[in-house]
Amino acid sequence: MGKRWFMLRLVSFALIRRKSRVAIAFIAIVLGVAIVSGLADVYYDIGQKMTRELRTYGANLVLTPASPENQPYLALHEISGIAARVPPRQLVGYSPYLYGIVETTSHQIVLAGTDFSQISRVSPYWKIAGDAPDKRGQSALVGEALAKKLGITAGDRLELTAEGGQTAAVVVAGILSSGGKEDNLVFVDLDLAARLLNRPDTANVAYFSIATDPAQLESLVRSLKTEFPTIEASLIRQVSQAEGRVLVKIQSLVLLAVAIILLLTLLCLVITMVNITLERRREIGLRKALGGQDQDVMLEFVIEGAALGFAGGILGWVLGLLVAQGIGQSVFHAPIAVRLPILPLAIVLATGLAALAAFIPAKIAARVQPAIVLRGE
Amino acid sequence: MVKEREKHVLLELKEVRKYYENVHALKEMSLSVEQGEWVSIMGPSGSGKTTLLNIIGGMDKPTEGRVILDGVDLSSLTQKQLTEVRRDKIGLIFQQFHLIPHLTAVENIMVAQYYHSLPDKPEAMAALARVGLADRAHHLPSQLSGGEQQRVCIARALINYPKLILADEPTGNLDEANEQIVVELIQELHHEGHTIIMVTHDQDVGKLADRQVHLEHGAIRSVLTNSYS
Ligand SMILES: Nc1ncnc2c1ncn2[C@@H]1O[C@H](COP(=O)(O)OP(=O)(O)O)[C@@H](O)[C@H]1O
Ligand SMILES: [Mg+2]
Repeated sequence: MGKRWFMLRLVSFALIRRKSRVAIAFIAIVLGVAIVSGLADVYYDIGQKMTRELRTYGANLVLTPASPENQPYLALHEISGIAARVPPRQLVGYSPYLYGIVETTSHQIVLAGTDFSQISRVSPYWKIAGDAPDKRGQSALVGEALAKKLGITAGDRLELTAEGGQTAAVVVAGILSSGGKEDNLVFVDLDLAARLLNRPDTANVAYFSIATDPAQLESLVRSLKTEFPTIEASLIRQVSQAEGRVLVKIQSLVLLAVAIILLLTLLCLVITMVNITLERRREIGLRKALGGQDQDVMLEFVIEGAALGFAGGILGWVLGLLVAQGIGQSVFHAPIAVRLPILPLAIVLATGLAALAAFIPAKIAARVQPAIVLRGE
Repeated sequence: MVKEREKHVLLELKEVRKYYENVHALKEMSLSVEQGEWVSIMGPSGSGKTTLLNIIGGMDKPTEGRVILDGVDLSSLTQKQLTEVRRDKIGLIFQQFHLIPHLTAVENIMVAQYYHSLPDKPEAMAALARVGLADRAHHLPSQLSGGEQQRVCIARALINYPKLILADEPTGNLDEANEQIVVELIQELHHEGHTIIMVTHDQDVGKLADRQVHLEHGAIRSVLTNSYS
């Protein structure tokens, strides 16, 4: 049997058959790696998660005609052209709005045509009592204040007549409350509004929700100005700037936590390793009495530590995934992306730290005198 | 036949002294041991027996004097060289057996092979068979009786063909039956030509050796040579 092979067997026996002794060191490694690699997962994902999270406050970019007195409408193809300029991963959603006056049997009201499928993305804070509207059903959303005024509830039918005499019948799917001007409007599908108002392929305004940092948004706005001179692009600023600041703060907090946990883990490891080595003084003395050189004995202890770290690194990484998912679900209500490169990093880190932690007791081991075995200390 | 073999001095102590801070553990001790000889070291507790064995085995260094083992002056060696001497020339038998608790009997013997040269399981198994423990090879020390542990310890001491076997109270922790087995093993080793230095409290065991060296207060009080050996 080869020397190295036997040494690895000695190491594995020392770990496996002394389970209860090495358990604390092992648990320290596993928990340390789990928390650190879990936080690393969160750290990398947090930028995206945070900007997405803040997008629930609604749009952060708005498009309007540059000179409304000459040309009060945006062309739909221009809006979709601008949407195509935003990287798909960053584009949370966008919705054009077309406004006009229509009449019900009793009142004049403001009609807004929009893309219902984008509501949850661009205006996630809208509260809808009843069903979400759907396009084919010719359904409408009626603002809360207006519904009260007209005495309308979900399920009612509305006959709408435009100035030009075009008519449409819609079913009220739900009542909308946003706390803003929307509470006084009737929302229908954009195509239906375009037909009623006789304004095909146009909109008055378009709201965009884009998940990116403020600096990138500003450069997007600048380039849109030159590419689309007839369109005014402006940022809804307060939210975007707060995003950046909060993100930096949270990320440095995560880094600090990682550093502290690493330090504590290392400390706990060194103390435990020193203790379990001191317990083995007699065995160390014996090994030296049998002819083991200091560096042989030291190497064995360092490899024991490294092996413990290796196994703990893998297990800790797996546990870290759970930690990350736990944080993802409880804080962001979304899974955290698994970053495989963290696995080798976790293994190398854990192996290195555990070997380092074993080095100090290995030094102690090397100092044990073989004479103690006869003395029976 | 008066002389069965060439007389050859394996070990020579010349005016060895050992101080531990202010304790004078050995006082100017001189002793020589021939190849194949069995010497028992006797004396009251604290008389310096273990100190002497540690110095002979290269586990401790004398404060003064010279220890010449197999032609090599141990007092001039570095720690590393002393370790090599222990590895190559010394077999150790302990009162407390000192088996590594998480290794089986055969693995304990292989550890000695591992530090010496290469672990060799069949040979380690043969060594166990020789002390009558072939069927105990895969037991942990905690699963063995004291006598069995001591026999594993003896098998380990012999595994690398040492020039000198040092035993510190090898029967000190054993009941009578096991003491008998271990004494017989040591006698066998002696007949095979091994050189043995054995510390013992037991008069009857000590008498079996070729020579009995009695220590008192770190010095040799008397030496008794058995005429029949
Ligand atoms: N490491 C040590 N430090 C201090 N004194 C020691 C040490 N080892 C042994 N002694 C002392 O040396 C003397 C001889 O001890 P030892 O050789 O163990 O005696 P024995 O084995 O005959 O009982 C005793 O007085 C003992 O207390
Ligand atoms: Mg003693």
